[in-house]
Amino acid sequence: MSSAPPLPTLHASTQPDREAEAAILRTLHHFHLGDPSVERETLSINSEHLPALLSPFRDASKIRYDYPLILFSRHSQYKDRHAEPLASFLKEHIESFAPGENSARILKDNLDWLEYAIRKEIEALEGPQLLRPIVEKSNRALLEHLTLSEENSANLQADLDQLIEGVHPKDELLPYDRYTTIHLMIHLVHGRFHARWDAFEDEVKGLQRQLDQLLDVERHKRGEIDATAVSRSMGNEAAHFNTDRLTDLLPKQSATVPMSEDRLNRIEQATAVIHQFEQPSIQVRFVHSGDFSGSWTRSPEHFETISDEDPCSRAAILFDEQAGQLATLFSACRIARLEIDNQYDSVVHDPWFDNFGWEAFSEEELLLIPATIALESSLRLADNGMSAFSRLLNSGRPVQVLTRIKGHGNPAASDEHPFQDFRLELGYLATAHRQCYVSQTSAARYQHLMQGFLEATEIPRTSVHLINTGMQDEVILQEADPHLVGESVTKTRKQFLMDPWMVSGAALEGRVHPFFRINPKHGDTFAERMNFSVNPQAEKDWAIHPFSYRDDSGEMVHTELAFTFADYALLIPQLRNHFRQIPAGFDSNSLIPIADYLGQSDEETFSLIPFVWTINEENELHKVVVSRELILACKDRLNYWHTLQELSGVRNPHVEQSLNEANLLAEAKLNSQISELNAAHEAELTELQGNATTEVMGKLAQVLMEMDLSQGFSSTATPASSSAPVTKENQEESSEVDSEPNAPTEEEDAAEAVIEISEDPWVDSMLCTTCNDCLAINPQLFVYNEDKQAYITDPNLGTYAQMVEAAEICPSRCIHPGMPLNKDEADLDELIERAAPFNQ
Amino acid sequence: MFGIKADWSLDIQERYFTIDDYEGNVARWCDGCGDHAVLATAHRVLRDAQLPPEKSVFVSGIGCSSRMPHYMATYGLHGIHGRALPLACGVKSRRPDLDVWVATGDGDCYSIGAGHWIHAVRYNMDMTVLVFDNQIYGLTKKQTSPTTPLEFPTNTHPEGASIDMMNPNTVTMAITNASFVAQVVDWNPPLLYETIKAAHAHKGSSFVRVIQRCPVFSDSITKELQEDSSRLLLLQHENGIPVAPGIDRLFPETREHDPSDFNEAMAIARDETDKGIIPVGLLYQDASRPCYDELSSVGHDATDEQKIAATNKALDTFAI
Repeated sequence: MSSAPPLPTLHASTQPDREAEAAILRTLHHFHLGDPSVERETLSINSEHLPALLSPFRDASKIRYDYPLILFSRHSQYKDRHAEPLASFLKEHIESFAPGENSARILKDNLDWLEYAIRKEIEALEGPQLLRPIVEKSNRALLEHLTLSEENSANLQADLDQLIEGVHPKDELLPYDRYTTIHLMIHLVHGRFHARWDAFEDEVKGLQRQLDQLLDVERHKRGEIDATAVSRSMGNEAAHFNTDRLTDLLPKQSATVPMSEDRLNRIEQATAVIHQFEQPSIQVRFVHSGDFSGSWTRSPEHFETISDEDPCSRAAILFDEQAGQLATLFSACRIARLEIDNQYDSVVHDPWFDNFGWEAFSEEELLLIPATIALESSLRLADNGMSAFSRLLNSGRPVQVLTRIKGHGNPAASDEHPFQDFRLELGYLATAHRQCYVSQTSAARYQHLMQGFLEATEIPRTSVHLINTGMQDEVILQEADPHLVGESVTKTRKQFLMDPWMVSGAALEGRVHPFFRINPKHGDTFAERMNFSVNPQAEKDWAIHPFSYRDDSGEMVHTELAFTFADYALLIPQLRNHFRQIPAGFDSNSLIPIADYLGQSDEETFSLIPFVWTINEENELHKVVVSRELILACKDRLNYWHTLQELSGVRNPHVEQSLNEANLLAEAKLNSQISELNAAHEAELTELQGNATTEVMGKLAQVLMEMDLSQGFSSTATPASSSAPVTKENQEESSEVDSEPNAPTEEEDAAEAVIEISEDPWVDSMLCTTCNDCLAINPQLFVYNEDKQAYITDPNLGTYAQMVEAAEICPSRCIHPGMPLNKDEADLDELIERAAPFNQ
Repeated sequence: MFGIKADWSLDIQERYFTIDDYEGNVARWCDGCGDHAVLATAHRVLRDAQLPPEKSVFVSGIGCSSRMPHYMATYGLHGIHGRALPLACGVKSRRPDLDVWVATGDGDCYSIGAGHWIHAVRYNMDMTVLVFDNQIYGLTKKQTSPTTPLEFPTNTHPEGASIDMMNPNTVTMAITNASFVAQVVDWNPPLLYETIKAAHAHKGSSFVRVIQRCPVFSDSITKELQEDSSRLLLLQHENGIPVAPGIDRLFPETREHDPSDFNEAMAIARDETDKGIIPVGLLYQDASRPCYDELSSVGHDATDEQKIAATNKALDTFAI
């Protein structure tokens, strides 16, 4: 069984003398201010130093998180869920066929093992993998691993078979990797696309039939009727007739007026287009600028990638091409509908259809256009791709733009110096394009990501998805050894200990990459458009969490820690030079936690040195000092966070100000009312005091005169109630009434409901004491379950007499014989009578 | 926090155990015997704790109860009469890493083993002590045991036991350093399970008196209690034995009792009502009591070299 990880410990306090303390503080302060000359005097940090709050999750292999996701195929019983974490699917699906704690016990006990085996199976793989073979393989591994008895093995096998039944052969497993977002997008588009086009195909076929009928009638009018048309008009019944003879019998010309040639041409043209209908072979087109190499997707179906140096512009062109091709079909369908209803008016409709482009498409038609997705790099969007990006967003074309946002980076600055300029917030830039859909999200939160995709593919507008993945290029860097300060010795070590999923989670937690969605379809105000859910503790500057450690005397200390942008920066190797270790055990009033530092003004923090808590691989708690450059970056991020808080209404200074003013006004009004009332009260009091004594004495005398003093005084009795004294008899009566109400209570009802006489025999297994008495009577009828407690296998495997005998002998009276199944058994009346006490 | 849910830690067990892994030989107790219930419960407690069978050891004395080690697939030691507890203390002293259980009976523990009982409780070594108390000597065919009720006829007292039965609970609680005293009946498996589970989880000697049926020699003693449970008093408390919903309905008489309240525990165990009330549940617990195995096992893991060095050092103090 798992146990809680040990608490981190604080290094023993080592307070130097005043002079040495001043020297340490001076060095730390100089580092904070960016003095390069002190670098050799300070200890750098390395990848083992994690933010204190993240340290328990250092070993990613034993963490259960939302990935891998199961992508349900469109034939799966769970298709409406689109995608779901493996862990919750396994749990829920097993519970569906084995409800309760004790059913499928072995499988449930080993579910973590199975989940771990499945995770391991896909660890080194990229992209979606067929789920079924992986589960089957892991199932076999579990059976081998457990080395169970034959009986238990068979039970487990049966449960595993049921588990497999819930997995559709086309369901896939999506690991968390570089292209998770894209695969999820493709999966969702496929699901939607098929449903929409299938519905549209049905509609088109309907139109096709109606147009054919219209043309048949017209041909008939013109005497062009032939056997094929007759057969078509009779539908399935045509087989019963000789349509050639029938055609000959029909009059060759009708008296009605045929349609105009223009109309006939128009209908024939529309019919020709509709007859050529077929669903587009490509459903998704990705345009990228060459950053996405070929190996990232497995056997793409209905899918195409196009490389172009300007993805946004190319995506717009591709969309126009697609729309242009579909315009012919859509206009044919519209003409067909008008003609079928005989509503086509050449004067009105001819010019309309001459210029029928995507701008004239209905919402349904726009949603039928194959998805065009521009994959842009954030650096390009912030640089020479910005104008094309902006143009696309304002064009209204329902094209999706996907871009990956690095949490620590600034799209407008180099990766080496991300804090050189204030950060360009692409989400804010996209929001300035008021008619486009914006989703700032992360692959690590699949539900938020999916919601953004689903909403975006439901509305025919340009959409931007700004996605953080926590992925970094995995490189082995030469890193200075902190223990060899001043030496030119370096050692090589892997840089990224934290799982990218955790890093991305930290980006959300640290206000590095806040989540929001802006859906212009919801209204004109940010209050209607903006969704700010999922951000942790959104009303605060930073999310604050409880934290416990052991101090240098071994005592447990419970405190709270904020998770800031600086804590997140500890996870990024390029930013480690913004931190230096504070000597272990050293403390000073000049050192201040970063969240407190950021909450104070520049004047207040002038001489202070901000630090963050880290934990190393030995589970020791250390303070590390933060550079001023990083502090400024924290302030910049906080500023953006405040902007988003204001837009979302979570914390709006305008509202707060108005509220304050309103409160002040209300308070002033209230105070004046209180003063007035007080004055009035005082005046009344003075007036009343004069005659109150007389009045009170008068009333008291009246009460005393009306009382029956022989019954004694009652603290609660009024003079009127004392006239009906409570006698002993009616006291008892009333207590009986109290204790025995006529109507049964709800609890009694529930108890009675539980004690129902069952016709079928059953054993209350939980109460079985494993005494073997019933098994001695009939070991086929009574057997033990996994907990060695008896149950009835099949009542037909024994006689009713055995059932009754077992019930009588059972020391814990947990066998209930029910009623006999075999009505021909001997002495049934007597047996039923003997069974009666055990059936209650 | 960070998208991590409450069940974030994958619990990956290298080995997994079913009831089969704890089952030894086929139990040869009589059908209907309460011992089966205790055995099945011990299997379940170990299975639910997923303890490797080779890490537990069952130690017993003599009597029906003491056949238990044969029926466990753990280590076991079927000792001599009355000596289950000192043998178990020896095991725990040398192998504190083992999970030690003691199976003893009303004769083995309260009679011939009474001296050991007192000292073992005082040592408070970390072990689970199960007293299979059927209130009779069953293995030797119905002689009076220390807990045989007054006037109950036996082969040694055909006219009925002449002295009132002893009270094992008050005796145990009165021993210095007693840390866990519970009483339960064998015919309520859910309560028996929770009681033994709590005893197993307790650090120190957990003394559990299991009042149980002997279908052959003392059936009438427990039958009355089985049919009418109004003499059983279920003790309930947030720090007591958890009672599953519905189980308390089997006990018409219940009472709140804080197991840390020694005086109240003594009063309940002594049955001041004089109506033969039998408490079930946790009477007394004090987890802060010292465990002698922690002291007696110091240095047990030292290497031979370390032991020789320590011995030499000790002897050197006598060098002139």
